[in-house]
Amino acid sequence: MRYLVLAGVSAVSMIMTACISPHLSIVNAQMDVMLAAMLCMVLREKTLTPVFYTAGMAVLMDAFFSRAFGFYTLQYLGTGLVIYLVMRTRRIDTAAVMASGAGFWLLREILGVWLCFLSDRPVGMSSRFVYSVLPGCIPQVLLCLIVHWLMGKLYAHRFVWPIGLYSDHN
Amino acid sequence: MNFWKNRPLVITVILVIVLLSLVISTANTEDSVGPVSILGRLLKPVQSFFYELTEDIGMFFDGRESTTQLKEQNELLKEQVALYEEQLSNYYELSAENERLRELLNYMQDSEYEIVTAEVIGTMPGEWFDEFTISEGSNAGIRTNMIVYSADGLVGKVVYTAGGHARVLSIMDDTSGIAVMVERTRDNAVLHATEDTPDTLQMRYLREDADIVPGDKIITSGLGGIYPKGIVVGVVSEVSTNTASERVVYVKSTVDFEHLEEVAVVLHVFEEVQ
Repeated sequence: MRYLVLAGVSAVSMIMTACISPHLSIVNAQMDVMLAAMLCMVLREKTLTPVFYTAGMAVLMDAFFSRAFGFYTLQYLGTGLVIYLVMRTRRIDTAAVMASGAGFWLLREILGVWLCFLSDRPVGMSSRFVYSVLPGCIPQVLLCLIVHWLMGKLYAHRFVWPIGLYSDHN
Repeated sequence: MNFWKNRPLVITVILVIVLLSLVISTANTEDSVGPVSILGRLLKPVQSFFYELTEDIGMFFDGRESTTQLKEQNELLKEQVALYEEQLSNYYELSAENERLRELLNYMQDSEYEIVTAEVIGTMPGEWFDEFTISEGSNAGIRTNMIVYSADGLVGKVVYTAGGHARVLSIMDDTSGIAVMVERTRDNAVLHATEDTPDTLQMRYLREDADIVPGDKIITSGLGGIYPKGIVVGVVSEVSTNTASERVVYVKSTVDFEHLEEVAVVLHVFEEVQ
């Protein structure tokens, strides 16, 4: 049941990121629902499992949108790995969600720019950051807060947790 | 923490290394191979559905249909039988699509080359590149470097194909340069998108004493291959001077990329004009 929930959340967030966000930009930035969902799930359960599910959905995005296979998968896998390493021992509160929402949004963008250079298609870093990435931090943080609240409702149920971890965190 | 004892962590690091090498080795791949093409086919109907849905939502907030018109149409539809409501809705969509395709085919009727029409079904998430996905691919005969345009003018070129879809690099992408000429004076230049002006193109390598004014039509020159001669690209929107006293010419594309729905792909790869 847990894996179904993880797969469902990852699939819905991928559809929103890949199919809806490109048409609904806020301050020139497309909101990353996949990143918000992955971040909030890892913050809650302190495992890498949500990262694998998100990366799995990113493979679909690579197949459909990317010429360099792994472009999207590596962004989410790399960011998810850093989220896990940095946040697994930290207490989660509103300030932590806001700071990590903005911080890992920036990290994913930096990873993406680096991957563009690696795949021989450099992008204009300065204008992208000034006009899109930095202004996009605010709506992304708001999105993370909303997703964090929703995840709170979801993770109130025992079946979502890995075996043995429900009582540790509740 | 003992790194080697944390199996998920080890797997993640290995995956990162594998994906890095995949990204480098598949950079600028022009064609998809088996499993990738299959994965793309899985997402295609979902992408297409949500693209159309969000286009309609976007048009509503753009004010394309006034609130008054929507209310009146809603009242009319409520009075009809459920079956007639569905047929009427389908009829308007098919009628509008038919009109757009008719315009597109009229624009292409003098072409000696076979064309295939396709729908735009998705844009690249994250706005990394100005690429969008169309609903036809190599199964319809589409290959990379085939040109793509709409009834309004040049859209771009095919840069990637899979069996059932393809990706098009828009002329608004800042890696896309087009050899053009001013239709009135026949002066040659190169058109580039720029970071500073995302909605317009900038003309470079134009003769310093070239006669050019706002309103001049810009067409492809055929030099450099890929784009044949004579396709409308845009209209000069501004001629100004920068801080280094150099003339700067801005061109607005004739295509509305925000609301692009159908395109035509010419099933021929053009060589450089001699």
